[in-house]
Amino acid sequence: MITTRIDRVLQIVLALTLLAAGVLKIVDPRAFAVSVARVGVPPWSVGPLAILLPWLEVTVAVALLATRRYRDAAECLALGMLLVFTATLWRTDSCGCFGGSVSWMSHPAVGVVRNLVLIAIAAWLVVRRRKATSRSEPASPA
Amino acid sequence: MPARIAVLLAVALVLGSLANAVSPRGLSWKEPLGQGLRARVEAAGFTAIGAAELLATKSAVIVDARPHEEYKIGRIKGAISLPWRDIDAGKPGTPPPKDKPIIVYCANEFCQDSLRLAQWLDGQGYKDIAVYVEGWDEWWNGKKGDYDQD
Repeated sequence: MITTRIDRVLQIVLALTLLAAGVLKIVDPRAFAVSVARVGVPPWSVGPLAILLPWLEVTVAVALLATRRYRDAAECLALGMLLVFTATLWRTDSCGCFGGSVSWMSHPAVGVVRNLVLIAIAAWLVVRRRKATSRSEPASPA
Repeated sequence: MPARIAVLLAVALVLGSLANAVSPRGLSWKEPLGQGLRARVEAAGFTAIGAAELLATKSAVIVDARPHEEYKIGRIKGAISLPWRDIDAGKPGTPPPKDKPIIVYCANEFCQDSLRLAQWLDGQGYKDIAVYVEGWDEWWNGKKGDYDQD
């Protein structure tokens, strides 16, 4: 029971972080588009990524907070997004992780540490869910 | 689970598309950043320069238009900080001297702050204003020249 509560707390932490990141990007979409362009993605992909990624963050956050059925999918998507966002920190001095806000939150070193913590949380949730799923599956016949 | 992942992706696609369509800050799917900075600088009547011209300049005052937090992390050597966002917020700071050429830069070719600062300086009576279009990103990543850090 205690472990389950910890999992729920971690889900909430992950969800609220993604929600904040997504909302800040939605509020200033041009600043996030600049960040996406600076990463060096193909020019044709800047628009779709800048428009849709923030809403994917918000959708995943809401799925983690408010649904049971979609939490497993949300955890996987969160892990995938965080891995990609962290990789971009190596290509630019700012990941645009919190939209265009210029603060200590966007400093590269802070971004790496923050993202590694979030990756650890998401990976923990994904692994625990896979273990719980495999334990609940019936054993194969001898 | 793949089906549930697809559902979440579809929800994000629909929400993002609708929000972008109705938002006054909505982006163009094909050209989200609009016309490039170089074209805008030249259309506004300023000189757009590259790193080579900046390096060749000896007497110009180099002005960094980025937020001060970014200036502290790294800047072109000798540049002074005059963040456009502070000026836009009504806090102009210490302007450069008027008797020297001015070269303004910001983060990169996607940043508009350098052009907006150049236009403000022009309105304040400054002459001989140029914009280093590629900005700090090129200077730092391309190792174009010396830099300062706090």
